[in-house]
Amino acid sequence: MTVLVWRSSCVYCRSPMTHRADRDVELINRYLTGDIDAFNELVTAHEDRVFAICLRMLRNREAALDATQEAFLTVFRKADRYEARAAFSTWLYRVTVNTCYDHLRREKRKKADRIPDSYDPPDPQSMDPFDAVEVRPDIENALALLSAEFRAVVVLVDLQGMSLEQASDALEIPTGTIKSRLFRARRQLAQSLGNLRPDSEHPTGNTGEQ
Amino acid sequence: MNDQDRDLIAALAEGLLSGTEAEDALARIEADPEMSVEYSGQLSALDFLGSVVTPLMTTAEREALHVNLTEQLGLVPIPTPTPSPFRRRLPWWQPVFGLATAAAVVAAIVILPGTLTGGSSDNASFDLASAEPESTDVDQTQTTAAAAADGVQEAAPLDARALDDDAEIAVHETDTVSLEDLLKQTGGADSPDAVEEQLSAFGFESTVDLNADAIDSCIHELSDDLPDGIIERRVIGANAQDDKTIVHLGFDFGSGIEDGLSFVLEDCTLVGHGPQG
Repeated sequence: MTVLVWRSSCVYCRSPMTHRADRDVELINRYLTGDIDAFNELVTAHEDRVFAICLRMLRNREAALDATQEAFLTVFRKADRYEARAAFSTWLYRVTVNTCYDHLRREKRKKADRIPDSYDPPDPQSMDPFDAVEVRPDIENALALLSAEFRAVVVLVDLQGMSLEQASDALEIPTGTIKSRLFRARRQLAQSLGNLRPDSEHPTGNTGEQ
Repeated sequence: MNDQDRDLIAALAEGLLSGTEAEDALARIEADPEMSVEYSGQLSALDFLGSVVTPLMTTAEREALHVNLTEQLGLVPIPTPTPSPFRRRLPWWQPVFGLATAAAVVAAIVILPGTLTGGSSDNASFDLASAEPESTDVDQTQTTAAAAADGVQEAAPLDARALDDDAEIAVHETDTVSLEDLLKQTGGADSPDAVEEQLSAFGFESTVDLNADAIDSCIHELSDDLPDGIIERRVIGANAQDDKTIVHLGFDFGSGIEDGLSFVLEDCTLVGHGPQG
C-alpha cells in the first residue's frame, strides 16, 4: 500500500495555488467593476470544490446545492470587503463551511422539534439511497458517523487536499487543533470500518485539542 | 502516547517523512503496540479516504447555479414580462394545439367553401370581410394557417420543434374565412395523432415567413384591446389581402381558444374582434 495515493489523487494538492490565488484576486476586482465574465469564471473555478465540500458535510444533494448557492451569494454580496490578505479560495471555503454548519444546525433544530424528548444519532442504513453521497455504503456510513467538526477537517484536508494551514485559515482554528481533529477523525473512521480492535480504543481526552 | 507520537504517526502515514526519518519512526512505532495500532488505523483511514470519489454537479445543476446567482445578485436585468405570448416557453401541447388550429383552418377552407366567406355569416362578430368590405375578391384572397416558431409562435406544418425563430405560415389560396368559425374549429384536434391525421389529410405545402417581431409589436400596440384573464395568446391564422397581412389572434382563458381579434400586420390596425373585444 502506498500512502501517497490519496494525495496524488487530489488535483489541488500539487497545483500552483499562488497562480490560482492571483487570478482570483484579479477576477474579484473585475467583478466589483461589474464584469460578469469575471463572475462566471470565479464561480466555474470553485463551484466543484464548494459543492463537494457541501455534499460531504451535509450528505444530501439538494441541501448541498442550496448551500453551494448560499455560500457563493454570501461571498459575492460581501466581495467589496475582501482585502486579499488571505486567498479568495480560503475565504470562500470558510464561508462554505460556515454555511454548512448553519444548515446542520437548522436541520438539528428541525429534528429536535419533531422529536423533543430524545435524540437518536442518524442511522446511515436508513438513509434514502437517492440521497446517499457515495456509491460505497461503507464510506458513506463511516463519514456519517463523524461529528460536523471532525467531518469538516477530514473533508478539507483529506478529501479536498488542503494543507493544514489552509484548513486552519478556512476553519479559523489553530493548526494544532486541525491536526488533533484530523488524527482523531481518522481513528474514528478506521474504527467504523472495523480496522481497529475494540480494545485499542483510547480515550480522546489523552489527545486533547490544542 | 503523547502529541509528538501522534504527529509522528500522522507524518509517517501521510508519507511526509524522508527515508531515514521514516525508518526510525517505523521502528519506534513497531516497538510500541499502542502506536502500532494507531498507525494501522491512520493508514486504513487514509487508504479509505483515498478511494472516495469527488462528487460533481450535473450540467443542469451548474447552469441552474449560474442562473440563480446572476439573478439574485442582479448581475443581469431580469427581463420585464411583455404582453407577447410568443416569448414564453410553452408546454408540449401548445405546438400541437397550434397544429390543430392550422389544420382546422384548412378544413374550414376545404370543407365549407362559401359558408365562411366574409359578410355571409349572421354571427359576424369576427367577420374580417365585414371589417374590410372592399376586399372581397376571392381570387385575390389567400388564407393562411398559422404555424409555429420554436417558442416564438406555435403551430408548424410538420415539426414544430424544427422551425427557426421567424414563424412560417402555410399559404393556401382560398376564400376569406370568418375568424369566429376559425375559432370554433380550433378544438377539432385534441391529440398529437389527430393533428397528424389532419395535417396529412390537408397538407401544408408552401410556406411564407411571418414576421414574429412585427406581430409582437402589434400586440403591444393593441394591448388595450386585449381582454383580461388571458392565459395564452396564439396566432391561429392569417390572411394575405391586397399586399396586407391580416393576423388572427386567439385567446385562451384556460379552456381552449374562446376569443380573439384580428389586425393588419403592417400597421397594427384592429379589423375584427371576438365577443369580449
